[in-house]
Amino acid sequence: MKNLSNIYLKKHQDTYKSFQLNKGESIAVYKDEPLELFLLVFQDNVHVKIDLKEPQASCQIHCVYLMGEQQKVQICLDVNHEAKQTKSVQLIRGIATHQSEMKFDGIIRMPQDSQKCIGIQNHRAILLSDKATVQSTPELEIYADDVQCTHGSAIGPLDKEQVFYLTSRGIEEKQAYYLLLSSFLNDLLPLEVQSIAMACLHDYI
Amino acid sequence: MSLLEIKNLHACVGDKEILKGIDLTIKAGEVHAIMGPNGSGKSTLSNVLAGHPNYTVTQGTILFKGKNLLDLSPDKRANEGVFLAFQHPIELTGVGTALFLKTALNAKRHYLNEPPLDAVQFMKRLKTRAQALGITDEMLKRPVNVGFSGGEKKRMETFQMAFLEPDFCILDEMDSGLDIDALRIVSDGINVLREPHRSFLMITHFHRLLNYVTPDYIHIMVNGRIVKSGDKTLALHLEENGYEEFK
Ligand SMILES: Nc1ncnc2c1ncn2[C@@H]1O[C@H](COP(=O)(O)OP(=O)(O)OP(=O)(O)O)[C@@H](O)[C@H]1O
Ligand SMILES: [Mg+2]
Repeated sequence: MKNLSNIYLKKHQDTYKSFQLNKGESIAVYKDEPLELFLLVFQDNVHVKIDLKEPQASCQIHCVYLMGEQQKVQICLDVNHEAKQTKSVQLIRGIATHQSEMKFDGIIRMPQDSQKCIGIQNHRAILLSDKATVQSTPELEIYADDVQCTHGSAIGPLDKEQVFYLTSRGIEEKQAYYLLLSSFLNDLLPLEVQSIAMACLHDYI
Repeated sequence: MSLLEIKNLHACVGDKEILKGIDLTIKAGEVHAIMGPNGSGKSTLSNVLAGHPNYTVTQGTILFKGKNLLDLSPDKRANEGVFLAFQHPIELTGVGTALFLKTALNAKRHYLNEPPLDAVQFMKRLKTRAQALGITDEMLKRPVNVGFSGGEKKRMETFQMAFLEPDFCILDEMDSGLDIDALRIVSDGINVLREPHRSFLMITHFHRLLNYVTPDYIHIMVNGRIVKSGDKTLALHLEENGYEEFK
């Protein structure tokens, strides 16, 4: 698979558009323009830093990764709640197969005076081989006391009982995998990138 | 010719033997019931027939329409006409019911060298079968079994069976968890499917179901073996005397 990772940005209910983020640069978010980012990650590392600059500023980051072979990929999402009453949501779904290695770092920073902030991070990954690994490290740097911050991760193989249920209805095993994995990603995948993600999924099953 | 012929079937989970020599022959059009105490191996038998990977057959043979069933993968068994309505149907998070049924039906049609159904034909078939089993549009819109009550899941299994029209239907405790009305709906759903080419294997604990769907034979399974077979009067005998004399 030679697909490159890509960052997409959605503005004002428009569709997601490809977006170039320069190395070391961070994205500043203000209250009148909530940030909606979608990251489609294949074989190269992605590092996104976001600063929530003023009260009511918010960002929503959806991230989907698909990796295989001997790929070693790192994703770092670093959200800084610079102002109080800001909100961030990070939802990550990934599939790793062969001997691939994913390292995910999700940083949520809430300095002392960033009261009443909300930070949500959820990471789910499916491992399609015993040799693939996903390491999820949430880093919560929270110094404010009146905030809500939740994070969760669930990483494991595909449920074999679900595969059996589908095959017992006449669906080939490969297609059963495809059905289950595509529906696992589907609620996060925007229409704009569905076809490249699904093509990659096909290659990995 | 018999539809299903099981001879001296032994099966294990890990190194624990659960089926210890099952013989059972089912002819086309017949309805057989299996009753037996908890843990006697009834669900194991149905899982082995459907090809669940956790169970290893160590001895014996299963012929289905004259073919060696044990050589076939679960999907091929299904497309040959085996259907298992599960005792505990699982939920398929995110997988839409309509997409699931369409994929399953077209897989079978592909297997039989028939063209796939188009969207209109598919919806028509879906709607008519769903209605008969009290499956609402709202249930069809949800992912498979997600958030369904126990009874709704059982109805969904029966509906899938009616939709896919298998030749051999295994119903593992289809009656447990059903209210009185639902039991009648599901039984009617089964009776409608009774045809000369289609056979049923119903696993149940209660003779109530057998009043609605009259079996041709009843078998009693204890500790991995069929210890007695008879006609439908056997169920009444069991209701009064329990399994003690067979243990
Ligand atoms: N996957 C498994 N792992 C371990 N033991 C199993 C497994 N499946 C079945 N067994 C064991 O095999 C035996 C038979 O189980 P089975 O589910 O076939 O019983 P059953 O007759 O269907 O019982 P019930 O009437 O309660 O549904 C039980 O002792 C059960 O614990
Ligand atoms: Mg059982």
